[in-house]
Order: sequence, then structure tokens, then C-alpha cells
Amino acid sequence: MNSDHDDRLDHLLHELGPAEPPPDLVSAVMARVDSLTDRGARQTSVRTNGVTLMTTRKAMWVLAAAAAVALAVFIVTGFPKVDRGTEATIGAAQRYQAQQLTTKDVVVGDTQIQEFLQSETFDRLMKDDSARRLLSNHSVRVALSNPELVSQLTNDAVRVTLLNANVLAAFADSNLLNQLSQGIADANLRLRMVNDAALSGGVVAHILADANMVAALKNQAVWSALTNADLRLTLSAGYAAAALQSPAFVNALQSPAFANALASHLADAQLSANIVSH
Amino acid sequence: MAYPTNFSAPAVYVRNDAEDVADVVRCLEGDHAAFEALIERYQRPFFTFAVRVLGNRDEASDAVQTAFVKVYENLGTFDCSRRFFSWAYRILVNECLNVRRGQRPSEPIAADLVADGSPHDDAERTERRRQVQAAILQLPIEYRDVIVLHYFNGLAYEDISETLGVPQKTVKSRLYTARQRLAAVLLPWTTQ
Repeated sequence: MNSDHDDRLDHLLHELGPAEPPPDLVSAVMARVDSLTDRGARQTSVRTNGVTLMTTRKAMWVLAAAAAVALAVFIVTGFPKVDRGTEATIGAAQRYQAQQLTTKDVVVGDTQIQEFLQSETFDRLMKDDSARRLLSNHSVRVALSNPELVSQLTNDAVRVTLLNANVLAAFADSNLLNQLSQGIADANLRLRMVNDAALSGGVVAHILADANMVAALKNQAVWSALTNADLRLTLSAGYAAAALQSPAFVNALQSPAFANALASHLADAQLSANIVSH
Repeated sequence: MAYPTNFSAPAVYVRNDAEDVADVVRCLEGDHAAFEALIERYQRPFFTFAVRVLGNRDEASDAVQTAFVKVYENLGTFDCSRRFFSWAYRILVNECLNVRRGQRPSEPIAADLVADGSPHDDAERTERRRQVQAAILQLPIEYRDVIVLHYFNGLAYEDISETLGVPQKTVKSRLYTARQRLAAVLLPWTTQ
């Protein structure tokens, strides 16, 4: 087809144009929807990056009933005791907890969250492929909604620690994790574990030999984040390393609204949409 | 050569991804007005698609209504990381295919399908539109889809690709072939 034919065909198609829907289309659909709602026929859960959020009254009733049954069972049989064997791991980490930041310490209103979501910082973050991919992961978004972890991540050594293969392997193995916990808790033991292969596996010794990693792991938010298997799996991916090293991501971490934006349900939909649309 | 047009508004579809997701979430939380807003937003492109593909206003209206109801019924399965309009469009495309299976092979094109109702709408223009609509209806469905989505709803290749679930290369190829076929039917007639 030559250019004139193209123009004429375009004109003919454009002349036909869009069609106006019947004026009662919206009301007709809503009437059918209302009748459906009366019968409770709609599936009412929403998937966001693989996470299903139940939103029906039915689901709420089921959950409430389950909670009531569980509470009744606990009242009758007594509340379960914490299993033995975890004290060393938890205790060691807790011994080195500094005063932690909480969401109450950083008060950022919805307006500031909106401002952040419309900022150049956020725009750059969304234009970074690896950062966008990282933030599309639910475990990551939950972890980064903790202001203390976000604050820690502004430290290069912490980001390196989170990505370290030995660290990820140690947290995936309860024996190694126990050794790591003891080594971090006790400086003398740590020294001996680093120098004596018989006291710890090579993986743990490598971690304990690195003062930066030890310092990072002494932080409860970092330690707690690494106990999440889904998060560890994500951190082991190549794009996670690229994201945590990208200037856009590091820059976003500096914003006090970053963690709150990730924690905000108000911003969740907008964040999802931005993650998709870029 | 400049051609006159009766286009009152551009057919270009403006994406409202963030707004859509917010409305879907509100709807799932029980806010009916949010679903009404989604219907208001998409009724025109949906109806245009259905009427140009089916060639019948009543059937198009039924198809659009049923598609919206199916959208509502399945909102819980919508993945917010995807585009709402592509997901919903796909439901409409499938619904139109279902309607087409029950259609008689050739039905007359009603005048109200091609008349724009304006005082300047003369008989010649109406007849021209009837010919164009007839030519579109003669296209195989896979070519008809891309022509309607591209020309009447203003979707870009990328969006058509996502809506129809075919690669962009296929969209371009189908659009090219569809245009060739339309030109073969329409251009000799318009030069008479």
C-alpha cells in the first residue's frame, strides 16, 4: 500500500469511530452485580505479588471462629511452652541488641508518604530494573517496612552481609546458625572458632573472621530479617545484589518515608501500580 | 490530502493503572462505588470493541454486561501486579468469541450501528461507514481483534500483545495483513 492508500484507509477507519454504549449499561451491570452480591457469589481475595489477602466477611468469620477455638483449647490445656534448643540462638542475638527504632520513633504522615511516592527519588528507584524487581517481592517489602532495618541498610557492610553466601547458608542450617550465634555472642569463643576449624564449620569461621559482618549480625533487625527463608532466597538472586548496590536504592534508603511507604496500606496499591507500570 | 473526520474525541486509551488498582482494592473491600467507577471508565472502549467485533448493538451490550459481571466475579483472582484493563479486556474478548460462536454467518448491519446521529450525518457517509463495518466483520476474528483494539480503542502494540496474549511481532503482522485486506475491499469502492 502506498502512502495515499494508507491515509485513505486510516480516514475510513477513523470515520467509523468509537461507539457510544447504551445509557443504561452501567446501571444494568450494577443491578446484576448487586444480585450476585446478595448471593455472595464473588470470589473475594486479591493477589498481590503472590500473596493472597482474604477480604470477605466469610473469611473474617472463619478466622474469628478459628481464633476462638484456639483460645479455648489453650485455656483448657495451657499455653504451649517455648521449645528448648533455641535459647542460645535467640539469647545471643538479644544480648547484643541496642535500643531499637520502632515505627513510633519515625512518624511520617500519609502526606509525606505520598510526597515520597511522587518524588524523584522514588521515580529513580522505579526506573531501576533490579530495584523494582526486588521491591516487587513481598518478603522484601515486609522486611523493608522496618525502619531499623532500612537504617542499617544505609551501611555498606550490612548490605554486603545480607548478600554474603556464607551468611545465607549459615542461616539456612540450624547447627551452623547455633554456632554463629555463639560466636557472635562471645568474643573469646569467636576468636577460637576462627582459629580452630574443629570448633566451627568453615562457613561460620569465614563469617566470624569478618569484623564488619559480625558487627552487622549483632543488630537484631538484621538478624531477624535473615531468619526469613523467603527473604534469604530472594537475597541469593543476582538482581538482589544489583539492587542493593544501585545508587537509586541506596538513595531511597536515606528517605525517612521509605520504610513507612512500604508499610503503608494506603501506599501499597500505588506502589504496586508503579512497580508494574515502569 | 486532508480528510474530514467526525471524531469527537481521540480514540487513544489513557492508562489508569494506579487508579484501577486502587478501585479494585476498594471494591474487594466491599465498596460498590469503586466497581461502578471501573465500569464508567471502561464501558466506552469495551462497548466499542464488542460492537465493532460483533456488528450488533444488542449483542455487544449483552457481551459487555456479561464481561463486566465476570470481571466482578473474578476480581479476587486479579493479580495487582498486572494491568487491570488488559486482564478485563481479555475477559471481554473471550466473551465476544463465545457470542460469535452462536451468531448467524451474515446478519444485516443496522443503521444505528454506523450512524453517529449528528445533523451532518448524510446518507453517503452512513453508507461509507456501513461498508467499513461490513469489511471489518468479514475479517477473520484474529485480524478483527487487532484492528478494533488499535484503531477504535487506541491501544499500542504492547497493550494489544498483553491483551490478546500474543507476541508484539504477531500483533504487527496481523495488523499489516488486516490493513491489506481492508484496503483491498474498501479502497476500490471509495475511489468510485
